[in-house]
Order: sequence, then structure tokens, then C-alpha cells
Amino acid sequence: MSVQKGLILLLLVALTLPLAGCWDNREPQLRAYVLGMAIDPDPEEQEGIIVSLQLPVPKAAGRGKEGGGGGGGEGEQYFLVEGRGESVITAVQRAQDRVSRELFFGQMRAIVLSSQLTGQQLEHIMIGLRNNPDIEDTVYLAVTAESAADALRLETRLERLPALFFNSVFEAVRRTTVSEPVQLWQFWRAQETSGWEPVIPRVEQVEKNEMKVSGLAAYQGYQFVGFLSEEESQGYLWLQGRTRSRSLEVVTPEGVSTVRSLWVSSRVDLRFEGNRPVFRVGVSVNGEVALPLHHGTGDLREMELITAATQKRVRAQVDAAIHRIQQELRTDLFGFGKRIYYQHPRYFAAVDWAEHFPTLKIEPVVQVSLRRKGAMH
Amino acid sequence: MPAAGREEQVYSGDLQQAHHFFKVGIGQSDDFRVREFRLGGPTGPKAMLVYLERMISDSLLDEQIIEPAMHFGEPAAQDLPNAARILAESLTTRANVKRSRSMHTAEKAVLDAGVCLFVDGCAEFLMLDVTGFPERGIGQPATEHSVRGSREGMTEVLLTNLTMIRRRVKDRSLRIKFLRVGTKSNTRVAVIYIDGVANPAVIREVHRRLKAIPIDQVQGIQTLEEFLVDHPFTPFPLLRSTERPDEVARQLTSGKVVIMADNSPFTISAPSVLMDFYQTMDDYHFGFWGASMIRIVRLIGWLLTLYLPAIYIALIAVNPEMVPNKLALTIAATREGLPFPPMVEVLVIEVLLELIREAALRLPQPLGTTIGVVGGIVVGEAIVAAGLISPLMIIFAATTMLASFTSPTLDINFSWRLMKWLLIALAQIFGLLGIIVGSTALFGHLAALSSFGVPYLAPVAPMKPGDLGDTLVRLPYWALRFRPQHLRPVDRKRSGSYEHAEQFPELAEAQQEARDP
Repeated sequence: MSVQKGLILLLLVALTLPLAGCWDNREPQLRAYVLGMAIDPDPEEQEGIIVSLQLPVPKAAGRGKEGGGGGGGEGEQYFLVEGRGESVITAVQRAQDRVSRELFFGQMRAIVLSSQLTGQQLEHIMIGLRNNPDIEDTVYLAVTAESAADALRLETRLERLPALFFNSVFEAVRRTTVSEPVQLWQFWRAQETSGWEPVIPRVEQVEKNEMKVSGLAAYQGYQFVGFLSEEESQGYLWLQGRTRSRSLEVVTPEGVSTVRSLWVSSRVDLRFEGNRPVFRVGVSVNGEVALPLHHGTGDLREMELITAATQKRVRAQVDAAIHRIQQELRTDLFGFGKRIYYQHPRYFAAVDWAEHFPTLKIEPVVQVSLRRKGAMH
Repeated sequence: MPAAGREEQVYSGDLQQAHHFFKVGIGQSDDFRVREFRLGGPTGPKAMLVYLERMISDSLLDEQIIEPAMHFGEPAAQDLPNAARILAESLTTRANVKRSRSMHTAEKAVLDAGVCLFVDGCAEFLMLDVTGFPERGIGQPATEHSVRGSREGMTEVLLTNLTMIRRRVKDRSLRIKFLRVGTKSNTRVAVIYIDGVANPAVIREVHRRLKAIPIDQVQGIQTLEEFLVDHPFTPFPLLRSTERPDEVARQLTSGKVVIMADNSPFTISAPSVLMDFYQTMDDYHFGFWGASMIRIVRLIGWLLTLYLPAIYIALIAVNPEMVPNKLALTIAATREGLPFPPMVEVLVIEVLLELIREAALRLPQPLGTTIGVVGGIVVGEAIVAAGLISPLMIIFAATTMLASFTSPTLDINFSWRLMKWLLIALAQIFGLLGIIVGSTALFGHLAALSSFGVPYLAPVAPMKPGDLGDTLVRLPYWALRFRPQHLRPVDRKRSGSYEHAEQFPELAEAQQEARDP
């Protein structure tokens, strides 16, 4: 009996051998942590890309507060290593050749992509990233219209390292919902799903030392098709029901009010009119009136005006988003195709969804319900 | 019971025979004493006392045995065949007197700090208890401190310890059974239980196992423990030992069988489960909120002892992707320029700490503190300053050490510290996966253990919801109405139900009247 138990135990341990082992054991001193990766097209090479890796200088980290030390001036906190190549794998290899330690991607927090990358380049990059088991699929993605490497070079004020900036800014974005943080797995998931195209948040440099997340970049497959403005992004997020807390300024005949959304949901209903699918998207916004602040019961008529104005404002953003995405970008960021694919697979197979999407009938319905802050009713 | 290979000898009433018997046996030792005198005056019959020097109280012997026998021994001297009975009934003033005829019994009595009184012409002799060896007073228990509990710890003398138990459990069903274990040491072992509470099967099994112990000398309670356990090879203690009489009383009333040996201030109780090693007296001397909190602190301490060094190695060396970003950078910064890999660091520091611990334990107490200061502070500080070990490692190692001492009993502490090394080795080779596999194997082993047939992880596995009231938390006394089911007590009910007087209507009325007259 106990021999049997011992054998089972041995087998258990042996089973784990291929999963991990002492060959994974590297001293941290022998590793160079890659915190961020930026990918730009190579202007000199037709199909080439430039991969820039941000590496923190371990000596600089943590020693910042050591007062009284007679050491020299502040050393650099990080540096960028560049590698060029046809694929991300060779480019990383070139970058590795220029570093004395083994590159370690397990701590990578952000990948900044240039919007100038072609669809094929991005596809190869993504396959390359997938092949590296160290890379976590929770890495944040960002797109910039400018040089992606510059985004990693930017001296941000609050964060010590630019790559960490991406980490914290997207955590903040998740709450303020100016845009939508997208992680590697989410991008992959959209790629793997029929009738659903991915978005990646856009970052842009606004001042010398400032970067902001502004709207979304739309893709068709791996091909970048265009940016959504902030208004359009907002509309897109209303339709997805993913906005949470967002302030809006609305104009009523009685002046300007500030409204804050607290809880937003959306519901997509699919029906067929004749032979054509129609999507009805109900957006329900629950929020509160932040300004003007009333004490007591307040004026019910004013509330109605504010509610109507908010409804109009949200509706305008939603319409703008639908128009931009459907007519101009012509890519199904909403994932309506996915719904068809799952529920009416034959219909989906019969049409070319990319062709069909721009002609799709979408009926947005916006419903706003507001309360006054501090008032109960 | 005659010793093997020796014939049973009966005292015939001839002093010469007794004399000879002792002379060829224990009489060859130089501390063996024979005192001869005449019963009832200078012309009376001869009498002889035999004993071991200093094992008995000389003054008691003089005042309560020799003096009455010499001066007032007349009646006994005149009725020689019944002399022993007369002496026992009306002459000696010692409380503990026995009569016998077997010479081997006499020998045993002498070895057990007794005195034997032989009278020439009487076929019986007396065995008197005049024990007078020096013994340690009752002191504070050294290994199990209590803030609010009793300050009594047990001593080396079995009978003294039994009085402490008796004082706490004044029940007519409290049973104390004596056995002798050890062919050379002849150590007296007591099996204590409450009849009608403790499971009879366990009582029988304890007796059976104790009687089967073939050892020559009982060094201490640990000697017995190693024979009594169900699984002789496990590193985990399967019988809870304690030196607190109040803890023993608690064990008895919850339905356990307690084993106590002469010359050992510790007792063991059977059956014991893992949870028993985490219940201390202080848990019962503080309010149940506080006690529950302390228990949870101990659980955290246990987790840290077992896992902290292993997780440190796994996260630093094998799975650095699991560490939060900024922490990873901080760790990388502290480790910059260190010569050793994390495994060596852990080995060096843990071995150093074990050395300090052992050194502090071996040295006389005043020096022990010095060792702590020199070892902990000076060496620790210097080793970091010299750039050999990262300061982070010092923090982790010290935390682990502290955490390991939150376990209330020393023996379980040793077990976990041993297991910690197993996990460290697995973490070094397989990383977090190794820790998971190691823990699975470890808990599998624990689940397979039993103590006198009771699963070691009870009442958690197998789950007995009714017994959980005194595990991770301690419920108030009034809620603990039943004895632990896993002990299978005969009488499961510990106490009756109790209604708390939440308010006093009369008092409230009186106050109301006082307020508005």
C-alpha cells in the first residue's frame, strides 16, 4: 500500500518535470527585465520593423532614497535597446545581442505599436509575441500615431519608468473610462472570433512631458484602419455598456449642467426584417446630477430638462460612433457579426460580413435616468 | 512477579535468610544500608531495617519507625508470628505500610525508596514509605507560558504531578492506573483517564501498547511516545505533550487518555490531532474574540514558517513573472551585485539562524541574550553591509523564524521547520509548481496519519462541523457544549444548555422608578 502511494507520489512529481525545472532557474542578477516594448516600422527597410525594449537600470532603482551617499549624480533610470529585423523574433534577438544579460519578458507591462505598421507586419508581430511563453497575455497594448519608441522615452512625471506609466494609466482608465484598456489576450480574442474586430487605445504626447490616452484605434483584422476621436470613442463605450463613471456637460435652456454617469449597461437585440438583420442597441445610463446642486426637493421640471439634454448628448455621441465606425472605418468593432455567427451561422456564411457590415441597420436607443446628488426620491 | 531466571523466594522468618538474600543482590552496592536493633528493648527479638541511603528520610525513620519499635515493641515481641501485623497496626506512625512475604517484593520496595522491616521469627515483613529524596519544587512551566492561566508546571515526581491533576479534576470516575516500563529503569508510568468519558478502546490500546514496550530504560516521556505512535516514521508529533496540569485536566475532560511517567515533567495524551498542537491554555484564559484572533495569528505564523522562504526562492529565481512589477524592480535593485544565488542566500541565513537558536539554547541563560544580540544584530547587520546577503533576505528569514515560534508547542515547530526545507528544495528545482506539488504531498501525508486511530487532520478532514467550534476560532464556553466527536468519547455531552440573563426586568423597573418618581 505504502509502496503504491510512493509510486503515485513519484509519478506526480515526475509529471511536473516537463512543466518547470531547474533550467528555469536564473538568478535575477543574470536577467534584464523588459518593462516595455515599442514596435515601429523600419523607414529604411521595406518590410523591416524596429523593436525598442525598455530596460530599467537595477542599480538606479531603489537606491533613490539613500541619503548622504557620496555617489555621483543621478544615473539614468532606464534605457532603450533597439533591434531591427523582419520579424519581432529576429529583432528581439538583435536587441539581445546588444545587452549583457538575458532579456526577460515576464515583467513586461506595455507594448506600444505604431499605427503605421501594415496588417501583415502586425500579424507577424503578434504571432511572434505569442511564441514567447514568458510574455504575459495581460500586457497592455497601446497605439500611437507618432513614433512608438518615443512613447517609451517620454519622461513622465509621476512614474519613474515610462512603461510603468502605461501600467498605471490604464488602471486609471479602467475607472475613468475615457478609453478602454486592452490587454494582449483581448486583442487576440477579437482576432480569433469571427465577426468581431479589435480596438486598441490610442496614446498621444500632448506636451513635452505628458502623454494621454485619447480615444481608440480601430483595426480590421491586423490592419489599422483609423482612430476614433474622443467623442466617438465615448459613443462606442456607451454602446458597449462599458462606461462607468464619466462626467458630461450638458446644455439645457436654463444653463449648463454637469452630469455623472454611475452605472451604464447596454443590451443588444437582434431581429430580422425581411432577410436583413437589424440590431437594436439599448443603452441605459444611470447617473446623478453633480451641478447645479439643489437642496431640498428641487425643481422637477429642471430635472426633466437635464435628463432630456443628457439623453440628447449621449445619443449624439452614439450616433457619431456608429457613423464613424460603420460608414467611414467599415469595421465591426461592436462584434455584431459575432452575434450573427453564433445565432445564424448559415446567414453569416452566406454573406461577406466585412462587405455587409456598412449596410447593417443599427437602431440605438438611449435611456437616461438621473438622480440628484444628496436628494432622495 | 519474580524476575526472569530467578526463583521466587519467600521470607521464612529467618533474619539470616533475608540478610543473605540482600547480600548477594542489591546489598553489593555501597549505598545499601542495614540497620539492626532489638524490638521492645534490649532483650527483645532482633529486627532489621533495609533501605538505600538518602532515598529515605533519616529523621522520619528514626522518629516514626525505630523509636516506637524499640520502646513500645513489647506486644509485638511477645507475639512473634503476628509481629508484623501488630507493628503495622499499632506501632509505626507512617501512613503507608504494607505487609508481604516475597523477598523480590522487598527488593523492589527498597529500590523504590522504601524501607523494609524484618523481625526475626515473624514470617512477614513490613514495607514502609519514608520517601525522602530531594525533589524540585513546583515551578512555572518553561515551555508553555501563560499570561492569565495557572503558573504551575509539573515536576519530575509522578505522585506530585498526580496531586496537581487530582486538584483540578475532583471526580470519582477519574482513574489512575500504574504500570512499570523499562527492564532496568523500572519506571512508574501512570495512565490517567475519566471513566465514562474516555473511549474504552483507546484506554485498552494504551495499556496494550505500554505493556509491549521492551525498552530497558525510559529516558523521558519521548521514549514512550516513540513506541506508542501509530506511524513510527512520520516527522510529525502524534501525541500532544504538555507540562501544564491545567492542560492535562482539559485533555482528560475532553475524553483523552493521559500518560505520565516518573522523572518526566511532561505528559502525553492520546489520541491527539494536529489541531491539539495549536491549542494553548491562554486560548482558554482570554475572551473568545481575543483567543480566536490569536489562533488566526498562529495560522498566519504557520503559513509563513512553511512557505515564506520557499516562495521567496520560487519568485526570485524561477518564476519572476509572478512578482508585481514594482516589487520585481525593487528586488532586482537589492540583489544587484550580490555574489550568491537566492538558494545559497537562504541556506546561509537559515543555517545561521538555526545556529543562533541552538547556541542560545545551550548556553546559560544570561549568555543566551548575548548570543541573540551578537548573532542576530551584529552578524545580520554585518553580512548585509558586506554585501553578501540581500537585506530582503534578512527580513524574510527573520520573519520566518519569528513566525515559527508562534506555534505553541515545540515538537510541531520542529516538524514544520523540517518541512520548510523540503519545500525550499522543491522551490529551487521546480519553482511555484514544486511548492504546490510538495504541499499536496505534505497534506496527503498528514491526511494519512492517525493517532490511536483518529485521523490526524480531524475535525477538518474528515469534516466534523460540530467540532469546529474550538479549532480556527474558539467559541465561548457556553457554546462548546459537546466533547470533540473525533475522540469518540463515551459521553459526548460536555455541559447543559445555558440561558444568558440578558436583562433584569426588576432592575430596569427600579431604575425607571428612580428616574421619574
